Amino acid sequence: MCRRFLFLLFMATFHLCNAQEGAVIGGALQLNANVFLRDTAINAYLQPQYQHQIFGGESWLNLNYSYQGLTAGLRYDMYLNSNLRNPSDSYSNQGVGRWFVKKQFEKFTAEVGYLYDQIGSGIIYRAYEQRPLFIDNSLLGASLKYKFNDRFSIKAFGGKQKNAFEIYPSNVKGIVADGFFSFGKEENPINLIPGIGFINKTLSDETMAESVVKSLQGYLPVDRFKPVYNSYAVTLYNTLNYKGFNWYAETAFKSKDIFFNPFALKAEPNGRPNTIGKLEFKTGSVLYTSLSYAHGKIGITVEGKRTENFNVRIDPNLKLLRGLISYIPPMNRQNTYRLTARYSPATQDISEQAFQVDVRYKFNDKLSALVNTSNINTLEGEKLFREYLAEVVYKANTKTQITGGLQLLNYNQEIYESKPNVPIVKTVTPYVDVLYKFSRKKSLRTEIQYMSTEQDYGSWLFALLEYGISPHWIFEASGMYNSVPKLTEKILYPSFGAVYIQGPNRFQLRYVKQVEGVVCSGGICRLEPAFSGIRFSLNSTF
Amino acid sequence: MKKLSLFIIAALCFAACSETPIMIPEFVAPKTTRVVLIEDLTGVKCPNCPKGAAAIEEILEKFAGNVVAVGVHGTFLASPLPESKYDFRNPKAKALEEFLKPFLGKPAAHINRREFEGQDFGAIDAVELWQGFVAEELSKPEEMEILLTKTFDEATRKLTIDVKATSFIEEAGLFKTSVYITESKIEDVQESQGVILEDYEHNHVLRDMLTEATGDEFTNNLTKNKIVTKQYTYTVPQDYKPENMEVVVMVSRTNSDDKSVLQAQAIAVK
Repeated sequence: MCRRFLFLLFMATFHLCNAQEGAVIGGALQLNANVFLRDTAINAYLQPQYQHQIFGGESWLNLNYSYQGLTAGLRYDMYLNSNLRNPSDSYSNQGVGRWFVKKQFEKFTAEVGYLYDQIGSGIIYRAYEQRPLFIDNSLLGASLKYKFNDRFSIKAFGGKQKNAFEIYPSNVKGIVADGFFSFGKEENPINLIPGIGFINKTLSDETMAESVVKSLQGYLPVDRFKPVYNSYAVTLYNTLNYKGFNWYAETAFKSKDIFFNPFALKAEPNGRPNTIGKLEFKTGSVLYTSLSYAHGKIGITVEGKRTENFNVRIDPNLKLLRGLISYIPPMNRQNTYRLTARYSPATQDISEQAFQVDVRYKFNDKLSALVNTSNINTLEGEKLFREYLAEVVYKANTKTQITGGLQLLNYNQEIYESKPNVPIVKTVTPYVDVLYKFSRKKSLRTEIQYMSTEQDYGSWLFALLEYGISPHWIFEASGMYNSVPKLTEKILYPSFGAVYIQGPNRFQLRYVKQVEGVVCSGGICRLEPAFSGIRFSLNSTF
Repeated sequence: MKKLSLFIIAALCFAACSETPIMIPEFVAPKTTRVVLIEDLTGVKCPNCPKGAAAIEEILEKFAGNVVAVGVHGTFLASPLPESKYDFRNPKAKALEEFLKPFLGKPAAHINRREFEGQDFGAIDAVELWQGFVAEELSKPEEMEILLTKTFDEATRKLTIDVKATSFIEEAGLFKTSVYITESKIEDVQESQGVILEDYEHNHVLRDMLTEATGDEFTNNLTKNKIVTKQYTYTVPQDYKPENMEVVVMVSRTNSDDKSVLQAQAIAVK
């Protein structure tokens, strides 16, 4: 019945679009295909893909139609022996991953279907898609927005969160009001962009009975609480622009909500030792601010964040990346080089206080520099993460650009990966990136990085060569070498690949060997296994 | 600004609506002859697995006589620590873990190999839910009775197990049986959230299986009140302590969408 409805809906939309001049039909295709090549030396052999499936992949095909304020879209998702949902296993399924219809009429905009949206920076509510992590927590429901004028709008929405090709039974409703006010001199106005958002989560009878009540029945009285179906969260946020200044501030609170605290002590009966991790029923808050200033040659950004008990999920017993309603922005530099990005701190939603400072300065047309520091602790003062990074970019001439940097990093592996008794990982990582243009079309980019550390896997050397023939081809070869190993033998992880770009189509073929790792979060561990094989990807828009 | 104020007031009024909290009913142990099987996917390098083990001990106490447990130290996070005295992995445990996939992480438990409503996988990683699912399984009608008798020769360490199963239902299909050998009270190290536990007591460790890891054929089609008997023998290795060992037997369905356990039973080796 549902499929017939969808078919009729899109046929009607398609017919309408074709019947009218000016209709726009577009879409996108993303396809990943993997050939798994067993390699016992790096532990790439346990998953069914290595044992007998050999091939695996996934694809997403979007089709969108729009005409005179009406937009409709359909996305078909397919997973065949895919390792995205569970990196340790294989997942196969296919079907309609998303559909939506959106219509704007006068001051109203109405939308039904699977909705992506966020309030403010997403702290109390963010429905988004992150394909590499198998995150797709769109809301199957409806939203209605009313735009009073250019300065003020209000939107209400409600629905149930998506879970792969199913939906969770509990529901979420929300309302958000956004404003825009500008005053002062016309050439240097003061802009205020305030907003307020509110969400309500109502647990389904099934979630309450099967997930919450049954869990609490197993708790001793000291850990028990009386749960409620409804919880609420409210956020106030504002952006202030003036000349080169940009200040964003957001403060979010939630009412008493049921959540799983992976660090809380749970009492056990009959004198057995306490265990760690239990459901709790507490209020929570997040304070977040970002102040940036850019003028002429200088740019400065200062960010701060305080998080306490803000793990908001559609079902409190869901772990890792499942059922997330809230999204708390990370507070560290998003590094792109392989080794500087190796130890990245996951946002801690139970207890975290953090700040980050980023300063950029352009000395002249040839020379620019940046320094960045991140500092993350728990609210109790336990050290979680430190990063100090300095980077210089030097354009020697029109053909040569050199980027060089140094990263010093401290990473609390015990907390971020739940590895007991391991010391703080301390790394020193110098890196250099040289881009040389032979001609307008041909260029060669070279990266050399070295991570020196006494902890975890030990020290690494990484080198990359990337040859580009604009506008169509990029060829790359790289290797990551455990030069001073602590856990394994000296192993080289090589990768080779080619990219072909033709207009809106991008094809990539790579041979990859990738080091393994265990990631633990929310009281559950997840293996991100080593990968050995061939990867093909296609991205196309039309 | 007036509209914004109205919005805030409306939102806070909405939030102020109170509801009656849920009272958590006290636990009532069901009266049943059903025995539920918990297959705990665990490992000495799994920092959260002691929590799973504690939950199982609590379940075994609350549902005494109605639950049996097997700790499967297969592959994932199951290799020994540098300080370990023992390696709990064995070929049957590895094969069983492979058979019980998929699971998202450890600890995770199969409870009667049922696919429970609202769970992505048969292996349930939310430890908090295990007890509730065990209770749910125990609330179902009895489908089979399994009686176990044993003889153990201390001199030769030879163990003989006789299985006598009586079906209470009529059902077509192929049914399998699995026979597990477990050992408890083994003191060795275990990772646990931030510390290495030195003298951690490992219980229900799967040492071997007297059937294939995926089970052996038990019978084709169940006939009500029909008795099926099986006999198994095993020689207990010298380094295992018979006084801490159990034999666990279960019978399960083999349909592609239903591999649920009809009944399980356990008996001490000595």
